[in-house]
Amino acid sequence: MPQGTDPQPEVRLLKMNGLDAKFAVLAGVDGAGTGTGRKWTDDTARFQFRVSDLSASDLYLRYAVPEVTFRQTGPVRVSIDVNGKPFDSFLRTAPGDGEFRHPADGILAKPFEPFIVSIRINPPYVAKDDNAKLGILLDEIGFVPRGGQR
Amino acid sequence: MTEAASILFAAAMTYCASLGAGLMLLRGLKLDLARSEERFFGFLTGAGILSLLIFALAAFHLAYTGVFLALGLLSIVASYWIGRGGARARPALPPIPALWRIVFWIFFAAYLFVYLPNAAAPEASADGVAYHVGLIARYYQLHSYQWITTSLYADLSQGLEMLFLFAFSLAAGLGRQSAAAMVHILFLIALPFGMISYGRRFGIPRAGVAGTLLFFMTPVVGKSGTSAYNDVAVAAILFGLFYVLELWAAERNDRLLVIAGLLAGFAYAAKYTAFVAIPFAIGYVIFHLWHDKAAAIRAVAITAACAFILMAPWMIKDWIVVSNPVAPFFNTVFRNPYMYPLMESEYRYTMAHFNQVAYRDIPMEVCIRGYKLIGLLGPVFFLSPLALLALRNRRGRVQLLAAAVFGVTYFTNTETRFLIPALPFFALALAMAVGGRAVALVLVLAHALLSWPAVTALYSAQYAWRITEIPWRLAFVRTDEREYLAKKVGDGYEMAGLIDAHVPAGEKILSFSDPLARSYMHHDVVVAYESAWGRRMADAIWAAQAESSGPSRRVDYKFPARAVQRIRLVETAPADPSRWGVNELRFFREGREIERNPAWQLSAWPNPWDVQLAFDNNPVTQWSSWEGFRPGMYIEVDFGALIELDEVNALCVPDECNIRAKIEEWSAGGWHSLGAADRGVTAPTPPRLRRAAISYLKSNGVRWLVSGSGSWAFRDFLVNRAQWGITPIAHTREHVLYRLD
Repeated sequence: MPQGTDPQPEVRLLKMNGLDAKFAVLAGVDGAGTGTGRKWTDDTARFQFRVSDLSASDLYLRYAVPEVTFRQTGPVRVSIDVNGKPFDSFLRTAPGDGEFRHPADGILAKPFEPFIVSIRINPPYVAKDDNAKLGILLDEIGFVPRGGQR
Repeated sequence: MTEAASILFAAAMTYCASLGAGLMLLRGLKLDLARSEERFFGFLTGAGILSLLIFALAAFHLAYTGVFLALGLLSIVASYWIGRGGARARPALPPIPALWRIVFWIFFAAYLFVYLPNAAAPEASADGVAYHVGLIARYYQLHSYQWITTSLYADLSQGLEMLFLFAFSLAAGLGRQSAAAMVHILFLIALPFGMISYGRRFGIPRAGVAGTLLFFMTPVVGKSGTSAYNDVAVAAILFGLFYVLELWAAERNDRLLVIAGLLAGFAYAAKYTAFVAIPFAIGYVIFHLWHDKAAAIRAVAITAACAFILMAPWMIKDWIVVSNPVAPFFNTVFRNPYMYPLMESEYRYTMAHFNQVAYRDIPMEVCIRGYKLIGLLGPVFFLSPLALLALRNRRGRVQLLAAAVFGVTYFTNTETRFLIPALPFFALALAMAVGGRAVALVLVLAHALLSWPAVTALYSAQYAWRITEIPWRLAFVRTDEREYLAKKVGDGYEMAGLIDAHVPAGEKILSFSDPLARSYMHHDVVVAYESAWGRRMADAIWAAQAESSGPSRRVDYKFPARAVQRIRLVETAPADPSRWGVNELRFFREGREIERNPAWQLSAWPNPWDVQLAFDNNPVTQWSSWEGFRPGMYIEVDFGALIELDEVNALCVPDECNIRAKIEEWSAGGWHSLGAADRGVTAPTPPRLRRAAISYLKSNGVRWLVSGSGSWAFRDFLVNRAQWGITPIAHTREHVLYRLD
C-alpha cells in the first residue's frame, strides 16, 4: 500500500485547448479541451478552479476580439463574476489580441475547494447563419503569479 | 494505384485459391453438378478448406506472404491440372426467363457499382478495425496466432478471418485492411448466383431471381458485405448447406453429405451463432432417413465427421489457450481464469437487448431507422408476414423452416446484421409468396429504389449504419486515405496514431474505452471489458474512485481462542444473483494480526485463481465469486501447522459483502463451525486508494492507460491525475493517453 497523503488536484490556469479544459470548462466554450489554439466563447462562459491559495496572484485572461466580429459589435464589455458575485469588468474598444489582469487576493477561496469564475460578453456577436451568440476568442483564463510574465 | 492493384490481386487470389481447392474436392467426389452449382459449392467448400490450411500454417508459424502465395498458386495449378482432359457432360439447369435475366443483371450491376468501391476503400468498420482485421494484423506481424487470453474476441472462431489473413498478406500498405473486406464481398457476389441456381434447379426461377435481388440489395447486407465482417459469408455458407442438403434429398447421393458436413463445420468456424448449421444438417438427414436406421447412421456420421474437421481446430485452440473449447461462453461448464461467468452473462444480456431496444420496436428499427440496432433491411421487409403464404407449397415450407432455424440465434444478438444469415431464405420465401410476375417485379423495383444509398438517407435515422457514398476514386486511386480514415473511424484512429507515436514498443496498454483502431496500430491494447484480467484491472480502478464500491465494510468474526490448521469462510446465505467478494481476509490472536506467510495454502470456490487477491494487502483488489453467490462457496486457508486464533476479519465492498458467511475449521475429517459471533462495521476507507489501484496495474505490467470520454473513469482520471499518479501524454477529442508514473 502506498503511504502518505494524496496530493490535492489543483486547477489554476485553463488553456482552452488543454486537457483540464475538458472538465473545468463548465459551459460556454464549444470544443474546450480539444484541437489547437483558442476557442470561441458564447456570450457567457463558466469555469471551475481549485487552487491552494491566491495570495500574490492575478486573475488573468488572454483573448482576442477579431476584426470581423468587432465590426458588428463595436466595443465589448467583459464582466467577470466569481461564485456569482461581480469581480471586475473591462471594456475592449478595439479589435485584436488582449490580456487582462486583476489582483485575485480578495477572492475567498478555501484551499482546493472548487469555485466558479464566469464571464459575460456584452454585446455578443450574433452569427447570421444560426443566430449563435459569440463572445470572445479565449486562449487562457485562470490565476498567475503577480508580476510574472505570460 | 499499386495499392489498389494489390487489393484486387489479393481478392482474386483468395477467390481462385478457394475455388481451386473446392473444385478439386468436388471432382474427387465425382458429383453431378451444373456448372453454376460447381462454382458456387466449389468456392464455398474451397474457402473452408483454404481457411483450415491457413489455420494450420499459422499454427506452425508459417503465416508469411510467400507461403500463402505458394499455397494459392498450388491450389490453382493443381485444380487446373486435375480438371484438364476435356469437358464433362453436366446437367443443364432450366433457363431464367429473359425478362428476369435482364432485371437481375441491371440491378445486380447497379448495386455492385455501389458495393465494390465501398469494399475496396480503406477499412473503417468498427468491429473490422477493432478485431476482425485488428487481430489478424497482429497474427501477420507474428506470423502465427498471438496467444491472447485478454480478449473475448480472440476466442471466437475465426474461420473467415483466416481468409482475411491470406488476403491481408498479399496486399500492400493500407490496402491490406481493404483486402479483408474484399474477401467478404466475394461471398456477397457468390451468393446471388447460388440462390439463382437453386431457383433454376428446383423450378422457381422467377422467385429465385426476385428473392436474390431482395437479399442482395438490402442495405444492411450491402454494408456488412463490404466491411471486414462475416455475416454475409455466413449467409452464403448456410445457403450452400441448405442447397446441398436439398440436392441430397433429391438424389440421395451420400457424397453430397461431405459437402454438407464441411459447410456446416465452416459455418461454425465462421461465426459461433451459425452453430445451428450442425443440428440442422443432422436433423435434415435424419428426417429424410427416418425409416432406414442404418442409412441414417451412415449419413449422420459422414455429415458430423466432415463438420468436425472444420470445427475442431477452433475448439482445440480455445481449449489450449483459454481452457474452454467454446470460449467465451459456457464458463460455468468449462471453468477458467480468463473469463468470469458474470462477465459472460453481462455480455449475453447486452447483446440480447442491444441498446435496450424493446422487441416491439425491432420491426421499425430494422426496417426504417437502422440506428439503434445498427443497420436496416428496408421498408419492403414490413411485408414479411406475407412470406407465410409460401407455406402453401413444399419448397416454401422448407425455405421458411430454414429461415426459422438460422434466424433463431437472432435473439442472442438483436443487431440487424444478425438477421442476415436467415435473410436469403426469407427473401426467397417472400418472393415465392407474392407469386405473380408483376407483383414480384414491383416488389423488386420498390426494394431497389428504397435501398439505394441516396434514398435510404431520406427515411433512415441520421446515423443509421448504411452505405453513404460511392468512393470509386478513394478505393482505386487511393487518394486521401488517412483523411478518410480519420473521418470514418474517428477519434479511435487518431488515438491509435498517437499511441504508436508515444508508447515504446512492447509496453502494455490498458484501455477503458472502445477497442480503438487496432488494425491501424502496432501496439497491443487490452480493453478492460474483454477479459477477466482486464476486468480485475478495471475493478481496482472502480474500487479506488467510487465511494460505494470501495472496501468500506468489515465483518469481524470472534470466537474462543483455538488452534486450527485449516480454516475457511463459507457462504451460507440462500442463492442470490449478486456476487460475493472479499478484499482482504485477516486472522488475529488477542487483537494482533497473524502475519501472512508464504507457506499458507490458499484456495477458494468458485474462482480459485483469484484467491491471492484477498491476501495481497491491497484493499482495491479482491477475490470474488464472479457469479451469483450460493451456499457452499468459500475461501480457505491451510496454515500448514496449527495456529492459535480468536478472530477473523473480512474486508469487503458493502454490496458484495454477505454477512451470512460463517467461519469453519477442518477437524475430525470434516468442516465444523467455530460458532463465531459476527459483527459488520463500517471500516475507515484506507488512504491513497487511487495509488493502490495504479500500483496493482503496474504489478500486472500495465504502463499506459487510454481513457475514453464515454467511460466512467474518464473524469476522475483527469481531475485527480495527481492522486492516481498518472501523466497525460497525448489527447484527442474523445480520448486521453496516460503514462503510469
